[in-house]
Amino acid sequence: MTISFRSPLGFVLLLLAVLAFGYLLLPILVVVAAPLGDTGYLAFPPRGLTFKWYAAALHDTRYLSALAVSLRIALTSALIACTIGVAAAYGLTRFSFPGRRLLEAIFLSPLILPTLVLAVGLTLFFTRTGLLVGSWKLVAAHVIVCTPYVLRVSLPVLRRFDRSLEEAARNLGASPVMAFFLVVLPVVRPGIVAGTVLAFITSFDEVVLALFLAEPGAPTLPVMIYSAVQLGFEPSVAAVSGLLVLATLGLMILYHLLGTFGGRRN
Amino acid sequence: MDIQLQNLRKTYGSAVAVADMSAKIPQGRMLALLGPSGCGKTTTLRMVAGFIAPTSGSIRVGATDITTLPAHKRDTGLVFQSYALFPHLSAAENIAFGLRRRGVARAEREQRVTAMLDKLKLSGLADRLPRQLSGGQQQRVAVARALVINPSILLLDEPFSNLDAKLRESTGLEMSRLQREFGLTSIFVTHDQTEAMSIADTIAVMKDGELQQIGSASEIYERPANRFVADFIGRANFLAGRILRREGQDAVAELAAGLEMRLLDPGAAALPGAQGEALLRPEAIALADHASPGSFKATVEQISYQGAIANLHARLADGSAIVASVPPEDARGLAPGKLVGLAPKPAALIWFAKS
Amino acid sequence: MTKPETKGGGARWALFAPALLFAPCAFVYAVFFIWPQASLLAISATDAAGLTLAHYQRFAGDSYYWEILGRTLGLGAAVTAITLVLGVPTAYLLARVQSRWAGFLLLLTTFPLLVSAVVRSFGWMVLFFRDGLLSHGLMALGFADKPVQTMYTMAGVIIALAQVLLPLMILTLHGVFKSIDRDLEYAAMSLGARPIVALGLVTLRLASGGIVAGSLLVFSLAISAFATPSLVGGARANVMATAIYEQAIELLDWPFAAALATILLVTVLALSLAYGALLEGRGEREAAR
Ligand SMILES: Nc1ncnc2c1ncn2[C@@H]1O[C@H](COP(=O)(O)OP(=O)(O)OP(=O)(O)O)[C@@H](O)[C@H]1O
Ligand SMILES: [Mg+2]
Repeated sequence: MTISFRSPLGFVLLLLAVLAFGYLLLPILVVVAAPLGDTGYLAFPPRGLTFKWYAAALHDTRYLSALAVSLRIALTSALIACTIGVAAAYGLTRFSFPGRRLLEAIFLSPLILPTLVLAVGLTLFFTRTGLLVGSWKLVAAHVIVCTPYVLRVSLPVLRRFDRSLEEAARNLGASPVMAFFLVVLPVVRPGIVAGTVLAFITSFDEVVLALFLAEPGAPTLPVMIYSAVQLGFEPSVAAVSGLLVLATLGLMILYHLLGTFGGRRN
Repeated sequence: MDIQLQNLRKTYGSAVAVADMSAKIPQGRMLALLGPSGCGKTTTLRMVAGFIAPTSGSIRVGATDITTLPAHKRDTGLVFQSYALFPHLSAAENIAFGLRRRGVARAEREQRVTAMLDKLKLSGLADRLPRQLSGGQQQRVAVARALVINPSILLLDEPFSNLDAKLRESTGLEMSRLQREFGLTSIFVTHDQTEAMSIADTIAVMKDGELQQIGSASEIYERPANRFVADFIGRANFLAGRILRREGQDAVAELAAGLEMRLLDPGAAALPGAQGEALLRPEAIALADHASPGSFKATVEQISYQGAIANLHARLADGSAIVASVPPEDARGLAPGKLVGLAPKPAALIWFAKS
Repeated sequence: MTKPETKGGGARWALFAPALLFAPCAFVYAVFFIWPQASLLAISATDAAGLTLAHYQRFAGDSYYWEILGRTLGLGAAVTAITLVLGVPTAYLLARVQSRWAGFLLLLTTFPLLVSAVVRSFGWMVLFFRDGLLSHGLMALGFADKPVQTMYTMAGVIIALAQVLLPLMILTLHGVFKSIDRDLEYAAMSLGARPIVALGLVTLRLASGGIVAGSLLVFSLAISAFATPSLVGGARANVMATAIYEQAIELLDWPFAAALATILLVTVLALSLAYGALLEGRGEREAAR
């Protein structure tokens, strides 16, 4: 440390940082802990201890089918976003042509677009054109918000990629397509995986587009939680949310460990 | 003012970065901290600068103990390896930074900055930003910034390592001239032994956080305290052998390569039968006829001309490699495969017992 | 290179490959992004009779909507301020602390980002109710003498939304502080600057571009946020996003919703252009270094 924690300045900085972490984690802790209470209404800190809400949430078919919808949509959107995003990122880094920066800016622009604006635009668009049916509307919308994340992660990775490796492969007789699959892809794979995971999470957590575009009979999990929370505070919603948090935590730790043991993290 | 380090120690968890370092640097002298990468040189320097709190031990400057004094209250000028010039300030503003912090009035400040710019041949570059300066110019701004505050101690962390070889030598000499001119007590970190020997009064050789030897360049070169120092400073041949007998203070050793040699004052541990190695510097070897007594029989493997000398790489009878530095004219006419005699100069051997 | 076939293949590849690589992405964007957004613009400026500014005039002429816009910008400013006060020290410490904890803490910062904003807002709602921890806490500390309702207030929205966006501020600033050589701080201190002065004159000065960029990012996300204001604020703390939702879904006045959306979009775009220009400037300065 440049500044000692024992100095007044260091102490104030440390205090603010501790406060920040408490602030960041408090609502998440609430969501996990509140359904443990046996009072029948949500309170934090919880009073008593029961696992019945968690048990009930695991068997609640409404939430389970919403989870299935969310997973399906997130997986489809992430895979499409990954495919078109990586192809575009490769093109953007591999070739230079006039307007390349503009194209890149356009591809990245949904990042800054308020999702609500996108949702209003797409809803009107689908109503008027009748294009796409069922859950594909939401998938299309999520592809638009997920692709920029894939690009954001894979562009720097591809830019850092040593072009001479690809040239060496070409020199050894590989076609451009073969060189991409044999040399480029394996080297930049961690970046692409990270981008796809990010896309998956974005789609899975997204609520605004889902509110507008999900099939009426098949809401996604965030929409279910959103509606349930608006209607009232049942412990079962909190239990579902708590499970979601715990699953996220587990997956994050798993991803981290895999990366660490796989030796791919730098 | 003189600097005194006493049992200075820094540990990170169970890792020891610096172990019980003690050294004294008299007023106006320069100490070089020399050692391989990771031996704790930077850590030692930063403890003196006040950036790292020692785990134990003390640092004194003159009569005051500064061990716990915060960095900004220590009267030290510091030149960083990466220069650490403030990228948003011009050369002149960088140099004026310390004067401003000390509340030096504007007129005096400008005059001192200008004087310093002149002294370091930077006039004309005053308004350039660091990124608009060459490596050598940046280095001089960093030195000027450290010197202008008239510190009583100057600390330098590998200040020349980013310069090319030529510039490095001239800057090093210039630096040592300035240090003498300002009468600064300084510590200078380097892993380049030539640099250390050419500009420092005293050299401290470190390894794995431990001080191996401290002394003048000639002491360290001629009387290395251990095998590591002997190997690290200059080129060294090590010849395995065994003590045959003692002759008063001296001893006679039998070397595996096939010679009996006299060792001057090899220490009390060199008892008959003891195994060890004898250090023989390449320049302490003269070429001789391969049959002459008192010389090693060796087969020439390669000759490399270095200008003023020629290095003769040869193999001894026991299969060990040896390097001899000889005048180029002596090496003329030699070719790989040829048998020569290598004669150690009298009293050239230094004995290190096997540990 | 020497074989002519390779050369010919390369030339053809160079011609068609970019088109092939961009085609899928460009198609998807054209149909599902540019077209809908363009027609949104068109809808906001037309009615049965053709081109009109009526929807925008309705916004401009109604103080209710100006109030909403003002409240939205106020929300953005408050959220940005909170994330700055907490984010700058945290990001700085994370960038400077040298231990394996740093990686863990960075992971801990990222974690809330992976949890849906709906879930996080829900957590706040449990705390905000009259009977919740916040109310009890304020009373216990003597700040209030009767139960406090934070739910359905702007204060609640600000507290919850700042938490939702804080990780982004920390992560942005972490990168900024990481790129500033700590030896610069040491250099300033060795020249006699007290730590706080060294931080102000060197670190914060060098980070200023990044701090402004991070603030613009958080500000534009705060004014476009929907889930948190709608859950925590309800109908009483109406902001642009909730107003748009209301017009579209509840009142089915799509043209007016489109006009409101366009106004929000233009505000965010203006901020983003500033953000981009700032980042660009930073990048160029760094590249030149
Ligand atoms: N903050 C730290 N945490 C843990 N170990 C450290 C830390 N700083 C230094 N070390 C360790 O302490 C030892 C000494 O480091 P130091 O930087 O002093 O070496 P050095 O002699 O300056 O090396 P170089 O010539 O490479 O600059 C090294 O083994 C290093 O890994
Ligand atoms: Mg070092």
